[in-house]
Amino acid sequence: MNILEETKAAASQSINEDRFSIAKVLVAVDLTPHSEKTAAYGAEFAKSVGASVTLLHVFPPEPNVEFASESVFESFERSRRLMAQRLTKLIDQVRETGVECDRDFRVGDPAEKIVESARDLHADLIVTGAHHPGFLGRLFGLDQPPRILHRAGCPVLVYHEGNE
Amino acid sequence: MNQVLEKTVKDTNDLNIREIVVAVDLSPHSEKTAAYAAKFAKSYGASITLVHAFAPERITEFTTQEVRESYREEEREAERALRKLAEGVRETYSDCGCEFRIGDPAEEVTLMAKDLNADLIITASHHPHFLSRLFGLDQAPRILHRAQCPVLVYHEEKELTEP
Repeated sequence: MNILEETKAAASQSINEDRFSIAKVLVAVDLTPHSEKTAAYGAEFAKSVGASVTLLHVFPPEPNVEFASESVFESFERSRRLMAQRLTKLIDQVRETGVECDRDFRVGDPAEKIVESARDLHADLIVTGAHHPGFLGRLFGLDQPPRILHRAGCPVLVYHEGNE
Repeated sequence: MNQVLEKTVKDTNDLNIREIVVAVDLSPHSEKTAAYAAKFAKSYGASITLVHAFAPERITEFTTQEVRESYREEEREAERALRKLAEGVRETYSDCGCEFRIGDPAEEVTLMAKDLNADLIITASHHPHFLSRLFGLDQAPRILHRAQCPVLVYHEEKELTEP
């Protein structure tokens, strides 16, 4: 059997092997206005394949500087609580649509924590959004989807808003 | 916010995935990417189009006829491999076409998705080395930045790699 025949046979065999199944979808949101549509798309996708959703937000770690005042830490804590509330609200809204939805709130580097969460949950798919940052944003690593997909151990679905 | 969610998730059948573009580089990984895409398409009753973009010839005035012929042969070989891959997929999932293009892979894949009004692009990432990413050899992030529709990046194995 030559290499072309092998390719054809392998492609055909793989489809007949394990059944396509997605049971757990991890939807990572940054809680910007884009997140509503990303969460909606993730929930809709999960519903269409009969999967459950875990909505995750990763909050940046607290500033680690010697001269930060108490008010900086208070402000950081307020911001963390606010984001946690927003996540809870978004989860309630996803649940209202009939999709089973859990919550995950982590602190740290977004890409690392998303991949860690997916591994902990044994997620079959990560859904996240892309907002097309500029060249500089990409250069300085502010664009998370490519960072996620290079670390992830499962497929990653990147949703682009406004193209329905 | 509620309205957005309710409007979007009001019905299971609302998620219309009818047309899927599958970008393959014809490496050994492509078989599994194509098979995953076919299984995915099957669950939605969607059509899939396997796309491979062959990098354009690097011909200069010093390129010999021999080198040109070698490029041509590589091109023909890639096209044959793409057709065979599509035939393999069609044995179990008939709604599969293929398209061979010459040009920058990320640009051609996103153009193809736009031409077909695709609902989804499926491609793969093989976790290349940092330098490969730096020099843009990994096409998945380039497709992500150009795409007008959602992009699903398939990973063959569930394993973690170095950042």
